[in-house]
Amino acid sequence: MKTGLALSLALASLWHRRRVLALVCLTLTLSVSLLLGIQYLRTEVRQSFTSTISGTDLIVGARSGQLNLLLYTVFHIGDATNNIRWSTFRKLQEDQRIDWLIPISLGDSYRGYRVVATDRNFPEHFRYGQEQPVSLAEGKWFSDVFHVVLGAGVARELGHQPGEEIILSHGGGRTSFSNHEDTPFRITGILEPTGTPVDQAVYISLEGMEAMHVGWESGVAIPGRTLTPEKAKGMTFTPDAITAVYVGLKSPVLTFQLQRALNQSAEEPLSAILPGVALSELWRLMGQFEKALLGITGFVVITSLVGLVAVLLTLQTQRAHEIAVLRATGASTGLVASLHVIECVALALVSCLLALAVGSALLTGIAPWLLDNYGLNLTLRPLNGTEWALLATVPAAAALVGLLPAFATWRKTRHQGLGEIGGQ
Amino acid sequence: MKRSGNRFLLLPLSLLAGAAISAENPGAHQHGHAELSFAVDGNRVEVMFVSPAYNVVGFEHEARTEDQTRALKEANDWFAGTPLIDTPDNTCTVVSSDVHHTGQHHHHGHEGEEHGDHGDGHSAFEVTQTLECSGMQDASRLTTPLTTRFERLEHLDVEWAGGMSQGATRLKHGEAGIELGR
Repeated sequence: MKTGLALSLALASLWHRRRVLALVCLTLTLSVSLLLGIQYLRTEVRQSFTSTISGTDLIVGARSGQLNLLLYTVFHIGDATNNIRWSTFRKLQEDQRIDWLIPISLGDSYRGYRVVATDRNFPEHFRYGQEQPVSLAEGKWFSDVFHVVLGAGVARELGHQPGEEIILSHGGGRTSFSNHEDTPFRITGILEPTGTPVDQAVYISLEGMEAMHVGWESGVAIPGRTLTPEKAKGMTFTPDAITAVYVGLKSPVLTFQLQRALNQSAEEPLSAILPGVALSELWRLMGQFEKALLGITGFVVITSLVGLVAVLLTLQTQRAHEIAVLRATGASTGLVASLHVIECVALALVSCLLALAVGSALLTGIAPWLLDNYGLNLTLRPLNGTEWALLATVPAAAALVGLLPAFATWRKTRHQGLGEIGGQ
Repeated sequence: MKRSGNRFLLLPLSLLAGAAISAENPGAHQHGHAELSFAVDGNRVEVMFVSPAYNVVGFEHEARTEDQTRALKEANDWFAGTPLIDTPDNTCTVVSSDVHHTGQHHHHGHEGEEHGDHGDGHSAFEVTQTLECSGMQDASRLTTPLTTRFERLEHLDVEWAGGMSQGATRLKHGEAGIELGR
């Protein structure tokens, strides 16, 4: 009975001061959204990154840092420092320890999307997430020099269908002024969405990459020397160099042995990296930054709660009449004091609910943009235990800070000397 | 200046030698720091541990005193018989082990240096082990005795690979647990 009375009184009091408290509630909502958002993004970004590649034992590229090699080969972030010789790739093909190889050659683009030249081992052996293969949503894989397969994101964004012809651009960048106009590529297939950077690239054969660069040796097309699809018929193309190779081994115990052998290669300076190890290093670097960010957002929430107390203490002076009436009608000092705690907790709960709504709406809004620009696939999922715990600390902290005005009120009402009224 | 001059003279030679010159850089040698890598296939584990000799025995020259000879022998025996990676139930046994000392042939005789008599010839322990560990597939956490055994070892970089996962972590002195994050 007493609790019910306290609740109804507190809610009525909140409603009475809704204009001022709405602003406090807004501040608290934004800070809780920030806290929850950072925690959510931490786990989701990590999940998205780690599911980008699986089943590949090593990635081999020109000598560089392991993060650089990982970022430009897998995430299409940054550029290759150097290429590796085709002869090195051929030697790897003869290595008895290696089960499969996926060569990739980068450097060109199609309206801002990376062109990845590879071979048929890509659809056969490349895996992402929980060992999921890359499959076609429609059409078929390239079987000719001038065939191209589009990632799901590229096809969706540019509205392409199989059968259409596209012109690839020389070099990177969204707007390129040098295009391979003599060698249009025909779309033969579109990939299923994977939620990885695979969606944000277009795939051609290594032969196609070579063929479209005939006559481009000086960096621009020399008229009369470039090929056309007709001229290219019957010709064979072998690349001189490729950007990197994904390596699958016959036995995982050979991973470090082959890595050492490749890193000490006498023929060419190579870097062989373990994608999983490179990702772990990336997270080790990011870990400190993540914690700092979470700490800062924690302080933002504390600041908002302190603001809430400041507002409640200010309002307290205006509530002298209200409290006097409550006391005159028989409310105990405890009841009057508990109103503050209840109001604080109620405000925090409303803020948490609003923060959940704001967070979900924001995430739904920015997810496609993150996928397009950074290849990060963030999906809306129920909160996990840690996130619920983090959210629960907000009303708990609100109850604690609510004790401050509650104590002030309790002391003041006792001094009013009305004392307790029987029957309470 | 003299060094760069020598290098300049060597340049045409190295060009002539072409593929015969290794593209390998000298390995990093940092006291207090070591590397452990292991690859898992079923219950079989291939382990490699590379550490400056200083971390293991406290000196990097050839053993001169009886104490140093004993320390070296103890280290060799320990590496030969102790699995460098183990499951929480200690199910790993050493199938084969090979202890290699590298770099001691470069001695230049800089007496009085902190690390003893070596110039560019730091010496290192290279230990490879093949282990048999029952229940390896189900283990989500492994342990290593290295970080508790050698007090001069401040950081141990651990890398692992196996059918299920790849990963890396860095252990401080006294931290023995490796979370595989499966």
